[in-house]
Amino acid sequence: MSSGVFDKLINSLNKVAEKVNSIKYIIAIKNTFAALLPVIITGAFATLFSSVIFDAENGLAQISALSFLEKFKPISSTISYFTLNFLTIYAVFLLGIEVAKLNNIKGVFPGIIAVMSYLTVNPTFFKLIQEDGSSIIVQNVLAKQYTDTKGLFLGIIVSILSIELYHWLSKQDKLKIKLPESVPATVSNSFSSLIPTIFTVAIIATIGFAIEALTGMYAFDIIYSLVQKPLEGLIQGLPGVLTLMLIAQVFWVIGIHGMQMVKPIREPLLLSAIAVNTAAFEAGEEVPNIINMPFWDIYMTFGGSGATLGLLIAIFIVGKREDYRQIAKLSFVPGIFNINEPLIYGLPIMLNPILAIPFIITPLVTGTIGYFSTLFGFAGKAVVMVPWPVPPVLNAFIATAGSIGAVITQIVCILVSILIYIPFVKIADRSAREKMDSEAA
Amino acid sequence: MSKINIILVCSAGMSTSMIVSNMKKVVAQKNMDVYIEAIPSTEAENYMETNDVDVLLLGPQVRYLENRLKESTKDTGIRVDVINPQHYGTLNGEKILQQALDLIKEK
Repeated sequence: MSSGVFDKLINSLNKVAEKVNSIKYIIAIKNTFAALLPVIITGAFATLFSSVIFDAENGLAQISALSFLEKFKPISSTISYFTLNFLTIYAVFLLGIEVAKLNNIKGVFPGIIAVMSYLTVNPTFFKLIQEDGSSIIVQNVLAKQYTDTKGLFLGIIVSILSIELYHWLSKQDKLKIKLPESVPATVSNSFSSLIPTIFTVAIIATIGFAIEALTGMYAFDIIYSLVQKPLEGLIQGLPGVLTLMLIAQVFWVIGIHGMQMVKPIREPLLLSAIAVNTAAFEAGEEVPNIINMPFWDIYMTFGGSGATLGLLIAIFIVGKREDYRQIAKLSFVPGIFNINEPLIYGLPIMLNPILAIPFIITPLVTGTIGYFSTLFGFAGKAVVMVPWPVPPVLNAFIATAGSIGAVITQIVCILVSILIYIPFVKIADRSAREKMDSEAA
Repeated sequence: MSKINIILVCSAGMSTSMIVSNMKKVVAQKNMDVYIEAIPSTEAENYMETNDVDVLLLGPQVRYLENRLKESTKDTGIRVDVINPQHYGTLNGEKILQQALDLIKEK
């Protein structure tokens, strides 16, 4: 490839990065999920507590002197339920605030508008099917599917729609309540949001009603089966998650934060996948999702994006270049915490045609290993969310609630990554030597 | 000269915090009146609303934010620039601090 074509490619990728990251809703969704992380981790802690301490089969409570601990399990169960099985409500609330903020509407009230709007499109009864096949309608309940991650995409849509509507209505002069000038500003301001709020909620509720009246299905059923489920199937499958990783790595190679590029898709799908796993684990049910947020961190980004723990170790083993060894030393401690910017910009990996190859390939290979090891039941599925800076081995152990198979699989992935990086470190050594020789000559 | 406030913005504020500590070492050595903090990109705009900021330096990995932040800070006098990738990769606190101080001089 000539350098002209290469420059053009880099240029257009840079433009894509800027375009994508200036889309209002993408910024809002990313901020929302960043803010949701403590909720998911609170649920994870409660679940770990539940299984390690309060559980009568596997936890401390199995010791007869401590069996009283089992009585306290409702504490952690209730925390787990109202964090993970309520995630959509929190997401809708935060997204409402974020979208409003980007429209220059301050405060938390838009969050309430978004939640109200979201709830109005869902039914407040539940059809309970009994063992004999007959069904009864239970009134005055909000079924779990509307609050747990199944409602996430409908929630995102309604949240954005309702706040845009509210924003538009707030700008209409005809809808403003005019009060005499003698009324203090704070008083008249309190009225200014009144009419837009009433109209927003009324319009969204009417749309929800119309959808149900015309199709016989609730908006939830339509969005879940036509949008969310297919997307989940795609990204929570191996080809989908590898494609996402590939895109992220290509952006890293031109020096742009690749994870920031894929986050708008990755976070809703992979964070909800781990939330579903945690909730299932807490409830003692079959844990469904192999691919989820910790899977990404454990098997594909140990040492940082590009699984560069392998690169670090490869440099320590075979690297001769003094500049590489210097940077590797500098990067070792951050690398343990999965931070690798010194490697990316210091070696650099950025715009480096030799190191870019293993940098892109390695996570795809190790992700595949992690997937099949989990599929065959050797590695346990991740059941709790672990923040990404938690060091390798420890993250695999905690995320899978102590699966030694997962830890071994991760160590195998690290070994494989070292083997992939070694020949490229040698090539980089050789090309540096040749360059020095030619300069000397 | 009054106190100078510098913020470094990256994705999660983690890698820049390593640079911030290197920059602070230089500041302490030279006995300068400079305050430096690392901020995640999601919080940069909020932070600038409530705190005094003279210079905002972006990590090269989030350089796509440059135009947006320049636009949103254009009436505030806050200088926005992207950190040189090589200085970033080598965690060179001294050079990056110099970059920030040069930006203020240009004002």
